[in-house]
Amino acid sequence: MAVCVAVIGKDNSPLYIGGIGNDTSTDNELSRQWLVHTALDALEERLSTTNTSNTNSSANTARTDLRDLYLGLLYSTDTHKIYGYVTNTRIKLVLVTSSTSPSGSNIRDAEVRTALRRLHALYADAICNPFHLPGDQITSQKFDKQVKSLMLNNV
Amino acid sequence: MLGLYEEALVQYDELDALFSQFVLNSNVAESPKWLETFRQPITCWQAVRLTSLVPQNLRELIIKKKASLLDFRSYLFQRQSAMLLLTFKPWEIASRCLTTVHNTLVELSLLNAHAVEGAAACWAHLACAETLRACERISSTNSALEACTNMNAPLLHNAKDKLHELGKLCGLLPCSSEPTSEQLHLVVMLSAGMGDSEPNNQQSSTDRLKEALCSKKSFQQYYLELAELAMGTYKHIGRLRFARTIGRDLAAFYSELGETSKAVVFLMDALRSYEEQGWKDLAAQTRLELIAAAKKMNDVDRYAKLSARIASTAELEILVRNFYFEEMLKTIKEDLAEKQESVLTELSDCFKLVSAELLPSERDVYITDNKVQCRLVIDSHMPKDVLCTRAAISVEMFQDKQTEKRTPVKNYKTDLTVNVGTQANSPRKSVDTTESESNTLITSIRLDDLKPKNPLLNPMNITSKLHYKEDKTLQKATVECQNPKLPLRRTDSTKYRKPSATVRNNYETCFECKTFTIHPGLNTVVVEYIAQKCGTFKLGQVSLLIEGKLEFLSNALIAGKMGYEVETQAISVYLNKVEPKKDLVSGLEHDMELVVTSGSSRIEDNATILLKTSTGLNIRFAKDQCPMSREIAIPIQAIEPFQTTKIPLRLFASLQPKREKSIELHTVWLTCPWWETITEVPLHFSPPMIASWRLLTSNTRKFIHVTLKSSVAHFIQFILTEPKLECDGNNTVSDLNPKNSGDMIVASDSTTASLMWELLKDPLVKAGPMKATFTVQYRPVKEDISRTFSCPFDIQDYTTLFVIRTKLEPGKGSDFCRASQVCCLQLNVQRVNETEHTSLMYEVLADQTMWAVLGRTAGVITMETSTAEGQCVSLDVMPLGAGYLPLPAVRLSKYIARDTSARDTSAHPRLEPFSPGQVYHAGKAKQVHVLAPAPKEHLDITV
Repeated sequence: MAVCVAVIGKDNSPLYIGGIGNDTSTDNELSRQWLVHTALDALEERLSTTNTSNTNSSANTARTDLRDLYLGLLYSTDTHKIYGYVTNTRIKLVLVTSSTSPSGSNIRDAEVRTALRRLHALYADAICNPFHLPGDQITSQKFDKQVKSLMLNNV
Repeated sequence: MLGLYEEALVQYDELDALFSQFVLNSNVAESPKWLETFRQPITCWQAVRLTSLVPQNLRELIIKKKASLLDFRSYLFQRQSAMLLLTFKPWEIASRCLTTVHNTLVELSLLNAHAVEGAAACWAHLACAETLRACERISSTNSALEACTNMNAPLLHNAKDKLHELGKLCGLLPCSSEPTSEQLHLVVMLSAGMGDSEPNNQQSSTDRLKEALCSKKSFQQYYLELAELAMGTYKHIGRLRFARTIGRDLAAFYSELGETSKAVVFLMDALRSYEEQGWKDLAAQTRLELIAAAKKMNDVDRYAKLSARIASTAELEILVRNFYFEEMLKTIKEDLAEKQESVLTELSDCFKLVSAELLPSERDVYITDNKVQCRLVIDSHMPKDVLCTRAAISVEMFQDKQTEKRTPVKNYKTDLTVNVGTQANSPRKSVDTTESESNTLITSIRLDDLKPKNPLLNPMNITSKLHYKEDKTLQKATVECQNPKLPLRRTDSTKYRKPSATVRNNYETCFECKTFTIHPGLNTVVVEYIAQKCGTFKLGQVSLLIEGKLEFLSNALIAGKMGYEVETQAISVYLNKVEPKKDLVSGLEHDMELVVTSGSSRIEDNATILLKTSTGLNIRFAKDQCPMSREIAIPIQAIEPFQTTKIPLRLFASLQPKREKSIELHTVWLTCPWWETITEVPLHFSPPMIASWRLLTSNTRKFIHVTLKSSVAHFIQFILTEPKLECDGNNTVSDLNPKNSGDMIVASDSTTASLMWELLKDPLVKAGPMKATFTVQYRPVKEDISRTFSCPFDIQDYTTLFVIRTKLEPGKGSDFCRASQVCCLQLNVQRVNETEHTSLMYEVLADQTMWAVLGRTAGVITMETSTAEGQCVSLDVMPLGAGYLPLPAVRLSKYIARDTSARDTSAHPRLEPFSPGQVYHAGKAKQVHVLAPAPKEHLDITV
């Protein structure tokens, strides 16, 4: 379902970008990176609005704790839909689906949510590696393999 | 009709969702028959009309089952919009518009409905444009406008994209050649499909699009207008990344237009933001676009710099990198060859400075006119070997030193005596330490170590805690992470800020290394510099000049405070002992040497050092047997830097006839041609031996006892011969010494020699003061030459005047002295010679543990005449213990009565002691046998 998955660090620098799909002139690795990059804008916008709404309604702090990490559809283009997810440590997970492919167009929100949750779990596993320095790019081959299969399994 | 717009909207939404789902399912499952209607070719792509009116024509088409997909979608969207308009939610329209457009485009492709190429784009563009207009028209309040603006930006973006797509199809882009006939035909087709605009005085978006498609110029105008508006709106709502994406599109458009400089502005802006946030792939891509622009603009400087940077970008494919690497070399050779100045760029673009280390010099310090070397480790990101014409590090003066470094202590570090040597050493050490404290320069640096530590790597402060209830039972156990509020520190923003214009430092004085090859990966370069000036220097900018024209500069080392100190090592002249452990002894010849070290400079030929000595110190060359003198000129041969010559000398300090042990201080003055001042070398001489004498008396006979001992610190032995005591006047002495005293030895391991003479004189004649001189010939055991040691002394008041005799007699009625019985101490003072001191005081100084003196212990007696019997005094004493007790001692002093003539009432009678030889105490060593207190038959007095 997904054509691209990205893990973006606290400082908005990419920690991991993985994509599948055949490279065509319009749909290639680089173009997906642009998509992910611009998605950060929408993502930050979403975060700031949730934050302000939370501070405004300081009474129900319980909602802050239960804040859904899944941010839903960030924005869409003619060909792609971009979904976002933010961990409590401000690691951003971005998932890009292609609306032109038959499976991508028919995707449900719940599926994306599960996929991103699984990606979060995979990410947590990957950075548990004691040799991984937080803030560095994720180079783990295992993580790469798992993420690729995550993208494919849902196709 | 009922006015329940919200409910109606829900119904329309239901319909929308249902339809979408059917279309999506049609792709995977069998599609229902009715869906076929929407597969018919599309002939009309009229703009949606966002009014509250029901679009009757579209409704009829749907009823007649003749509606195309676009017709149906238009109808649905218009109805939804109408509901929203009636509920005054224009921003909802805007947000729905994009979804509708995207869905419709997907559905079009899924249903395979035939349409003219570009029809969909036309429809999408018009939908966006109409929505924008509707929002503009309706949103009267500020808040509504605000809400709309947020939604408008993506709409504008989409409209712009669609327009670009149309322009591409119709050959209206600035790069394309004149539109072909097919393209012209397409424009006509598309315009026809859009239909006529509604009868309105305003220019509709349909008209605008038609106009734009007519000519290149109007297209360009409309496109730029949309793009600028989209970018501005994005910036307004804070979506900078979107704005930059449009900026890139604009850049592409401008560069096609030929206005490359405008394009570069957009690209640079985008590049900076990508670099800042670590999107390396995007930055690399942007660079590729920038270099294309540079090529177009024929900006060779920028082209060369970017080629180098791209060649070093690991994210790019090796073929691309190699291509730009060759481009870089080509540009340098062809375009930059004529330029005088080299092109400056940032070192970190292509190389990484890993470490820098100042190599220690062979000597401890860096010395002028000698090499100072620095080892640089550079990581090259270039894909191939590259020729570095020059690697250099600029040098900055850190501390200016006015005077040449020449500490006076170092000049005559003359370890002459052990004491002086340590004194001379200690201030030098302290000087060194203060120097090292003041200069906190480091000599080696790893640039990775300079980076701030990742705060995420700090260990967390986790503690476990047990919480108890009031009744002491465990309530809960927790693991707590204390989160101490870390002081918020400003992160170094220079990391992100690209050093704007790299400024080249002054490389007049610099470390240099010429012409070497830098391989990809780690390279070690040793740059060196001949130090010319003294002082402390700091390393500045690093420069790598590639192929003679492209210069990479880095200021990374400046923050590191790396530096070194250059000194001049002056010529040093030391006067050293050959055997440094031994003291200098006056009265002996010593081997010394003059050590001349040339330091960092060369000593020319014909240099002479003039040595002058203080009185009593003589010097000569060790080799030739010339006489000793107090002045000597020493010629020094020419020597190379850091060489040493030694001139052996012999030194002799004449012995001063002195009695007390004292160290003699001599001085040698060195006059060297290369110093302006005369250097003073203090020399400390200790005497070979010390003589001490004592006058011994036996009644009226007098003896002189001379003791010789050596106080030299190191072990030395002297053989003594011909001891002599000479007296002045008509006094004579008789030698009581054994005649084979030639073997006598005095050594510094406290072996002493004693000699004795008797003073021959008439005992009854009072003699005046007498001067005597003791002389002895001495020679060290290993030497042959004997020298004379002499010691003068004065003897005064040595004639015996009084003789004291003491006698203990048992008390009355007993025959023996017994303990605890009163005895009688008979004291007899006899005058044996003429004297003016007739009034005498005696004091019995009894040991209080042995004797108790009853009554007076002291008294005054007058010795007017010289009688044989003398004065007798008897005292009562009591021995306190039994045994052989020494008799109480008696002291005789001159008693000078109070001067009655003087008015001074404070004048008291006073005592003056006699000289040691004037009173002879005959009973000094006498002992008396005292019996135990038990009554005994007989009394015994032992004398």
